[in-house]
Amino acid sequence: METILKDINAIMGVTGSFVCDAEGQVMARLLPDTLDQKLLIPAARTIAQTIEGLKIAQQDKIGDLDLLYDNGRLIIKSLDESYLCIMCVQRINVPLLNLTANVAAKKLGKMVKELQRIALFRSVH
Amino acid sequence: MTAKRILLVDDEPNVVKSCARMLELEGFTVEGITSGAQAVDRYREQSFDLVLTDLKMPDVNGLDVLTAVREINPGAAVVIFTAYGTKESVVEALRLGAREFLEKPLDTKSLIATVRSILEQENGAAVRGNLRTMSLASIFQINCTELNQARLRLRHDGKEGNIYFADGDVVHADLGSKVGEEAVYELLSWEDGEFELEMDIPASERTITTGWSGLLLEGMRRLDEQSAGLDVLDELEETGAASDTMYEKGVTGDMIEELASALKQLDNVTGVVITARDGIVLADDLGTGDPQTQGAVAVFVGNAASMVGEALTLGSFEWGAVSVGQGIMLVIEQPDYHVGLLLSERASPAMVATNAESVLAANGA
Repeated sequence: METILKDINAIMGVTGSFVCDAEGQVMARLLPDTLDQKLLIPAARTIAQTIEGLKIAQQDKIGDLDLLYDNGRLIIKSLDESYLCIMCVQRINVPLLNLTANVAAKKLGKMVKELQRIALFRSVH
Repeated sequence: MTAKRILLVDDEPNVVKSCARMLELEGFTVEGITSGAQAVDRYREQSFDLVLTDLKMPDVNGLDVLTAVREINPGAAVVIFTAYGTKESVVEALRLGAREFLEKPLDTKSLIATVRSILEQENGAAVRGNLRTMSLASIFQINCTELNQARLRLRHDGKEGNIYFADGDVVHADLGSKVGEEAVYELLSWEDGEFELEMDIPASERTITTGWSGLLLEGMRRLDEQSAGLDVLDELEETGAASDTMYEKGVTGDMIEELASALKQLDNVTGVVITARDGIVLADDLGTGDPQTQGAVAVFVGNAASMVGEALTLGSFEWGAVSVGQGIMLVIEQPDYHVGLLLSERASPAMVATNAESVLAANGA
């Protein structure tokens, strides 16, 4: 997963990325050293809970979230049972980012599903 | 300020007498008891801020007192003292939740220092406040994202309710005869009232399985349903601090309605909802769709985005777009309210956000 995150981080304007599951558990991350890693946990949980809450409220499929801040931007892509979160500069070229990120999101989604299947298998056996 | 109440337990009457005297001189209210069983009964009848108990006592010993007291009140502060402390008994006492282990004979200074320190921690452990200054939604969000195990006690208009948090969720709530989600929804409707948050207090049972975000959205939806039909200005008057601020700025219901109409004129905007920070819909022009649900989503996304931005050091939240089914909702953060714009599928949220900000600025927002 880290390899895929490296590809995403290589896009001009991306400052970091991470993957969390529907419970908000961080599964992979590639983030700047300046970021307090302890704060990532509540952030990931908020993201996961928000999207899960929106699914219930809207009773529909929730796609990408694009959040703009005065010091950057956060783009969140749903991967079925998990989320890819990309931190970037405000003025990033979103269509260009999507060319790489959408392919990466598909691969990550498959990987997460596989990991969850293995974890389930282990818990049963 | 009320003196802190201490329950002192030792089978030696002289120890009880001398210790009680020491503590009373320091301003504490002390009740001394020479039997572990009686101490547990007394604790059941009366609440104490701290229990000081000897370890070795006939019949019901200090560990039994500790276990029984913490069964009655899982957050109870208990200190054990003994002349025969083994490593195993210390470990066991701490495992059972004892705050401290003191050696006999008790040294006055260290006893007083320990008692003061624990009672100060107890004060610090409970966060107190009023729902007017911190909304229940914010308390939910903080405790669930921080994975806190805590009890939130709420008091309003002679009623008292409790909400329990554990493992990132709301697990139990009670309010009079109501328990579970119904209790939560009623508590969410309280705009005013005192709260007290105590950490590390487990719930006695689990009555809620819905995620906290789902509870909040449903709570907001119900709240809006109840208030539907009220005049917008009445709502402004009755709701929290954000709306008060709007009043102070001279914002009227007509101005908000006009703002909604102006935003609706923007290219690719198919619907508008303007919502106060507490979820009350101030104005809407949606055509089809439920303003309460869309308003709740706008507040929900806005609050969550602010929290995430703070954690990830991205700064203040400006706007956010979320794709829902075939459409997009654009949420624009304003100092006193959230603007939710429903966009057509092919709209550029960034472009609409820029145009909307011009309209907001022109309308004095």
